[in-house]
Amino acid sequence: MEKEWTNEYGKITIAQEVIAKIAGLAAMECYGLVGMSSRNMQDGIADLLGWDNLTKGVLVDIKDDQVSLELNIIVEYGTNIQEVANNVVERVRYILQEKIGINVDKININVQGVRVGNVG
Amino acid sequence: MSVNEDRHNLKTVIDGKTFKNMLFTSLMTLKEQKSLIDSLNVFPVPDGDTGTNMYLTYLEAINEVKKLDSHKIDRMTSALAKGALMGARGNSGVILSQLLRGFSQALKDKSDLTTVDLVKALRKASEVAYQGVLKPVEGTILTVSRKAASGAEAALKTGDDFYYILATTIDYARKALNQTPEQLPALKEAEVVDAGGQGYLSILEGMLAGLQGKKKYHQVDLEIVKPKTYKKPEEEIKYTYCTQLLINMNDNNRSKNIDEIRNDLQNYGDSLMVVGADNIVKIHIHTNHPGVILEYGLKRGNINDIEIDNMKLQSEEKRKKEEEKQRQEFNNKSNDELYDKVKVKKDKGIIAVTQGNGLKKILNDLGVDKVIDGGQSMNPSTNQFVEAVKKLDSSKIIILPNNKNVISAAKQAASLSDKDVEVVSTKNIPQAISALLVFNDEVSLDELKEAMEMEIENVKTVEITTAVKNSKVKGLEIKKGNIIGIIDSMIEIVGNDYKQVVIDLFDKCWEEEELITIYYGQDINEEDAENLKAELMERFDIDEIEVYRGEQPLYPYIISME
Repeated sequence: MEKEWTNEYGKITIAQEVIAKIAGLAAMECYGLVGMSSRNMQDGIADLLGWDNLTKGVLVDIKDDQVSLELNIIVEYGTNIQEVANNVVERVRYILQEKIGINVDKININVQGVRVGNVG
Repeated sequence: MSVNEDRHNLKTVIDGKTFKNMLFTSLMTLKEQKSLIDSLNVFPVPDGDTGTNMYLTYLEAINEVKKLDSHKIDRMTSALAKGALMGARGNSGVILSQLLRGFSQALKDKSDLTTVDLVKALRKASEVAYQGVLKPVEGTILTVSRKAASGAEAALKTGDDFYYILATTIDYARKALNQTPEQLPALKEAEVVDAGGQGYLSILEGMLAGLQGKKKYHQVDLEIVKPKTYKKPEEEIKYTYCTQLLINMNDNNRSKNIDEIRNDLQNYGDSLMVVGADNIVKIHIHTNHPGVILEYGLKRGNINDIEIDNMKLQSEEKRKKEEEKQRQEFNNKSNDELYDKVKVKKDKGIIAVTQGNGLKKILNDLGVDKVIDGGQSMNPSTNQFVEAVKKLDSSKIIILPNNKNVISAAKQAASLSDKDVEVVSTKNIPQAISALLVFNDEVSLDELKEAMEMEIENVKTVEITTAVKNSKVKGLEIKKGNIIGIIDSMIEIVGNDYKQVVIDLFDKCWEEEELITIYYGQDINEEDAENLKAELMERFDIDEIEVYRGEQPLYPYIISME
């Protein structure tokens, strides 16, 4: 599925992958978030994803013109996880609105892991 | 500040009491700078709350220190870190909490603070903060903290003295802060330095001021402050006169189009609006020279409906009115008279979203102050709402989004604005219209919102539109190009003919409602709409149906039942 809308000149289609990538990049810039994890969690391993496949941690769902997102994130130990998650939601929503003009209906955050840094 | 001045009194060790004083003073400094920092906030989300967030985070941190009865440095800094962690707000708050966490980690088992300790702690603070983000963006508080630590290290090599080290640290931090616009395009564009970085600098400056004993903190300042109490200072009025007029253009000026008039006038003030059709043009401008504007109008034709209001006076009167209100109902009589005089406009403004000239006009007639163009497949941005809110005279505003997908943008705008803005979650035009019918300028904004929300529950909305793609909903097979009938946002009927779909919809959901209104879209002519009305009245034995020309795109018919 993709998100599409029409203006006076024609139709604009945005692939799911694009939304996932922009959301992923926006999230990556959030303080406290240190990685995305794969969405296939059946094996129970929260693997850190590299830059190339960060979109695997972002699930985009487009239904009846409504875009919802699910982000699987890994958070730095010692941060206020709730606040970090809030910041991620805020930033992703803002960037999607600003860069592609999409109003996101719902953003769900799954904190899949906590990374303990070198100290502490 | 002069470093030398304090050099005669070298300080190489700081005890817990002094440190506590430094912390309290830095909190005060941050509080003083809070509004400034808020105004710098453009990254990562320009919502103008960085200063407030940092202050509230730091406040919680310091409150944790206040609860301690120990004056050992390690216990104080770990309390600081704990408080910041629990109280972290916003991105900058979380970063600050990590900085403090790093700071405290470096000071384990220290009961006093030496210069070496401080330098190490500043470095550790920055290091720990950097670990908290996958892709550190340079030009933020992180950069400032790193450079500040470098400054501290450089200073330690040349002088073992707290005053000197802190002053150099601040110097480095300030330089780093001033470079942030070069590192982060968003800052450069807005011509500001990084807000979080400014916050960190303020804390460092406060620490030094506390050490020098230059500032005394007041116990009162340490009470918990709720974020809501923060209010931006009122914007100063640059142009005094709100000037409005109509110009009946001379024949030879017809070619002079609206854009040209707009160009001619734009240097005379702000909030310029030029609208018109054929040979009548309406001009609205805030200017200091209303006479010039009138003269300009005379050159173009004859003018009428002239209105010139002194906005400075109005805003003063508004302020007076608010002061009076607070003084309760003491000498009621004379005040009432004053109120009547100053009541030049509605207390509450309304912003609504729709498409189609007919619907816009209907909304305007019902008291909407600003209609934003948008709707299905053309959602207005948060920014459009923010601009609209800013432009309205009223300080209390209701937004009617009129589309499910627009509600969140409206809500976001509401949270960004320093005016009182409430969003009544209308999902379509009929809901907006029924909400507008209960508008009452006398009640409070909350009461009005509640009344409107109650009212929109009572209206049933039926819309028809054309399917843009093949899909399957609730067992209905929908092909691209089919006409679909929607009842309260749910697709219920599929067909191939507007009229038939409407009739099917009535079959399905009409429950003897008496107030039926049809708004027909741009693709429908009046005759078709009247035919439909007649058909419906006869088939369902309805006494009266109102029909309005909505001119909306995409939805040939929008029908409300109440």
